[in-house]
Amino acid sequence: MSTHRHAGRRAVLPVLAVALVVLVAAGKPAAPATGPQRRVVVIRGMAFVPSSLTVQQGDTIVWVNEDIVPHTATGLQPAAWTTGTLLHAQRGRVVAREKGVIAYTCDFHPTMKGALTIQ
Amino acid sequence: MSRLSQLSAVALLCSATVSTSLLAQAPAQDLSDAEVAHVAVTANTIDIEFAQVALARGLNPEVKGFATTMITDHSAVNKQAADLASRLGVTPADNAVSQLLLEGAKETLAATAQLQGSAFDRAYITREVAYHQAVLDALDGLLIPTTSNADLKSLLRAVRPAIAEHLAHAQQLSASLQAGK
Repeated sequence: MSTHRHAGRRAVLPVLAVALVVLVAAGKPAAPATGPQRRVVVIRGMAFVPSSLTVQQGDTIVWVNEDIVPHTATGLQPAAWTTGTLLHAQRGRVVAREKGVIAYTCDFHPTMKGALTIQ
Repeated sequence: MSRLSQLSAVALLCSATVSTSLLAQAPAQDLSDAEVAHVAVTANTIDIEFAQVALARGLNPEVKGFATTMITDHSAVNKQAADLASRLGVTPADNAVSQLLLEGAKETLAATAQLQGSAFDRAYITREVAYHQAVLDALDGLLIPTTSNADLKSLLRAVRPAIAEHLAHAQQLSASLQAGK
C-alpha cells in the first residue's frame, strides 16, 4: 500500500513540477530565477555613486571607498546600521533587511547623502 | 584669477585678516612642484594643529566632531603627499608661500588665545569657513595650474572634493551656531 502510494506520488510529481514551471514561466516570462544579489556603491569624490540605488530585500550592498579620506555609510534613523569606518580602498557591506526607502550618510561628512530603496 | 587674488586666497588659508605687509612678501614667480608639495603639506598641518586646539578649548560636540574629522582627513592627505614625494624622489621645498601660511597661523592662534568654550567654537568655525574657501581658491587658481607633475596634480585634484565638503560642513555648523542650536 505504502509502496503503491509512493509509486503513484512518483508518477504525479513530475507532472506537477512541469505544470508549476509552466505557470511560473507564464506569470513572469522575463524574470530569471535569481537569489539575493550583490550591489556595489563606490565612494568617490566625497559622494556615493550611485547616490540612489534600488535593491531587493535580502540583497547585499557593498560600499567601496576610493577616496583618500575615511568614510562610513550609515543609515539615518530609524534604520540604524553602519558599515563602520572604511579607509582608502576598504569595503563594507550591509544586507538589505527592511523594505522601504532609507536615507544614509557618512558619519564624518554629513553633507554626503545617499538613499536605498528596498523592495 | 589675478596673481594678487591668488596670493590673497593663499594668505587666507591661515587668517582672514592677514596684513598687506605679508602679501607684499609673496613671491613673484610660480611655484615649483616641490614648493607646491610643501605648501600643501603646510596647509594641511596648520589645519590639523587648529583642530587639536579646538578639541582642547571648544565646547560644542558637533564642532569637536568636525575638528576630529579635520585631523583625520588632513592627516590622510599629508600621508598621501608624503608617499607621493617619496615615490617621486622629491623633497618638499620651503618657500615664501609656506612661510606666509605659517605667519598667518600664528596671527590666528594669537587672536583666539583668550577664547574658550562657545566663543572659541564660533571663532574656530568662522575661521574654518574662510580657510577652506581660501584653500579651494588656491587649489583652483594657483596650486593645480602651477603643478607640472601629473601625479601631484592628480593628488591635488583628488583632494579638492574633500576641501569642498569640509567647507560645506563648516558652513552648516556656522549657521547652526549662529541660530543658537
